Amino acid sequence: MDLNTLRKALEAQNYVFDDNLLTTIFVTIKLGKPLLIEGAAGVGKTEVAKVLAAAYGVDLIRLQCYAGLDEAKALYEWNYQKQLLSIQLDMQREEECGTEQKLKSLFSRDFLLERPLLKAINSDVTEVLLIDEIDKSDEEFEAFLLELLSDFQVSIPELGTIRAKSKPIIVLTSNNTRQLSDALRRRCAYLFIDYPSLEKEIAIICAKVAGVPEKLASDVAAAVAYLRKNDKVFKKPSIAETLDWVSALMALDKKRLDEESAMKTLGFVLKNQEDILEFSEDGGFGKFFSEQSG
Amino acid sequence: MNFRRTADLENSFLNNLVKFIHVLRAAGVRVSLSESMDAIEALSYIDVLNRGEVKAALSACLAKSEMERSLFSEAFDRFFIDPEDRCEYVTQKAQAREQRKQEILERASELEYQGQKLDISDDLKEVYAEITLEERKSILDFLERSSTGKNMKPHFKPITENVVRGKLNQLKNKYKKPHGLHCSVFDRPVSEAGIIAEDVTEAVREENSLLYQNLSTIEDKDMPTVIRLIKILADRVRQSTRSRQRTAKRAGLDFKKTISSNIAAGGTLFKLKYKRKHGYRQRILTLCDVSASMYRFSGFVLKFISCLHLEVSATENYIFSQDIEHLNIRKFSTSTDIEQEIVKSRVWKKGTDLSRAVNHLLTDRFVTLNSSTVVIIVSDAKTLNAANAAEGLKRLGEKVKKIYWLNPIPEDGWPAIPGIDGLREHCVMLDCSTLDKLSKACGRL
Repeated sequence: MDLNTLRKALEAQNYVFDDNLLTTIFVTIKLGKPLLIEGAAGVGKTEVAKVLAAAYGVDLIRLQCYAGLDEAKALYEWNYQKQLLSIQLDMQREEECGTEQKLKSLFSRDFLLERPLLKAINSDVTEVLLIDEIDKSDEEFEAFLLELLSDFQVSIPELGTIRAKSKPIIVLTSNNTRQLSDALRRRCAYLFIDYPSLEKEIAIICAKVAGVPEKLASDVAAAVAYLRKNDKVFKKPSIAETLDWVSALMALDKKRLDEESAMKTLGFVLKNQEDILEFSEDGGFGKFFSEQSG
Repeated sequence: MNFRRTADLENSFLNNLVKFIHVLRAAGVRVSLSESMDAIEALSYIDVLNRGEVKAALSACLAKSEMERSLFSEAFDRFFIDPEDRCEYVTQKAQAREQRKQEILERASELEYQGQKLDISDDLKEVYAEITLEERKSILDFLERSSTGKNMKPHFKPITENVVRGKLNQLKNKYKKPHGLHCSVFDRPVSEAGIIAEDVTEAVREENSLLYQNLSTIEDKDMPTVIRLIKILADRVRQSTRSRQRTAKRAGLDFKKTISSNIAAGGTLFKLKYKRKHGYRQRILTLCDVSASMYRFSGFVLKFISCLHLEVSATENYIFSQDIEHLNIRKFSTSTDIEQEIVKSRVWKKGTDLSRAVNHLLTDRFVTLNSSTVVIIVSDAKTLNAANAAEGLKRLGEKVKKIYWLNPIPEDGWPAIPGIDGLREHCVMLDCSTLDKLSKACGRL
């Protein structure tokens, strides 16, 4: 897939992107490297993986990270119940076979439960593997991932090393709640997704919310940009929240954003009571609307 | 001929890229060999005449964090310009630096004792060249009087040198830039990579000037930004304590539970039950210095305590100066109330005696100290009874998991604080003189 084909494939998915994002994704795929995407929550990091999977026409294999995630949940697990049943069946059949052979058969691929990572590298076609919110996992798990990210292989003690049949496209996302190790960063190409520009945000609103009035889209995008610039707002509104806000305003049958409806629906963009209080005490959208009308 | 030209072009292209990687490294971006090779390979997949594509491809391979991305972007814009313009710019800068060095040395050559040049460092020579005419005259008058005075022997030269050094050091502190970015012209690079890298780091620092500004000089108008940054830091501390609390990994097999839960299956062990390790709960105990010497940092300390308390619930807060006081701030819900409570306390703006504070922590039966307690001390380490305080810290360190000391004085100023070495032996002292350093320090908590 060349750069233009990739551009068309992403456009076909209704995905709004800039040239920087496109080139980064293209180069990453060509280099066969995992892509680490960082940025604030809700700027569309996970969406990149979803869109890529759709563009390539493959399934998205997703591994959601959390504290305490281990290889049994992420890579593989032995099907213990199936192993027990197999032993009992062998006993009933009273077959004569060596202990070593029995053990070998018990720890074969027939008894292996594939978890997302193993599923991605065992696939015959190039899959898109999303390792979401890697910063939420423990440092031990991050270290465990290094082998997969650099060599596209995993080691299972009983089976040995399993190499990827077809290198998956790996996308890792992080909200930067903790610093990832240099070792992990070195193995990945890097993309930072910032909050979108006003024009890009309008384009996203128009692409994602069907039937949105053009004026409402531009008003909301400008209001969200105003909120993001405000130092008193701790949790800046994300794109997802912008879209929710537009939907809420459309449900109220609004064609344009006005101060009253903006304040009434503020909870869709500011998700923190302290932020809402600080913003309201600071004059709310008063200054914004006076600037707009001026 | 054509082939040769292409080869030359490729060589110069590679040369340029390698030079650019040197600039990045000099600016503080860690670029490994494999990343350099990735960057070269990446360029083979794109249109190298398209500046935007080249920038995006190199950025993906060479800049691996938000900060590195800013440095990369600035370096790219400064490096990939017309080579002649770049060369001229670098040469001009290098010449200007060389000229400045000569001027400083020439001016410092006035410093003589009985016709012999004084032996002082280049750093102090630069200070001498930068001070006012009156200050310079005062030093020269002193040297003149010393050289021609009655019974002044040549072997008094070291004493005179020490006096001049002391005076210049004092003037150095007087003219020190508030954000601590001053770099001696003798230490400044003159190579192409060094000059561009220095400009890059200065530009990025200017963009984030608040991050690099000394905490004592932060103005009220910047406080909302400071509060936001402290909240982010506090949020990180909260996240790290939470993840540690939640991580409860499987331990060994719990035979009793396994057998009882498999009775229904005729004793065949279909479901295995594991023992669970108890969650490891990290507690934070803050000990903040609110004495007179910390007054200039008080704005920061007050915000730090209140934000940390509001964001991280598992904290016990103490403030100290000549005595210690427990901050019972659970009843407050806003940072302003907490700050008022601290300002009203009896230890606000008094002298400092850390040993008393530490002894109180060690002896008070209401203070819980165990292997899951992390103590964070915020203080400038200017304390009475430093030896006793060090002994107290040693005993405290034996009881708790770790002691972190956030010191708002820049690290290069620590040697001047009496007794600090003894204190540093028993804790991890981190420079948090700027928000950037504080952020890095909090990353280690």
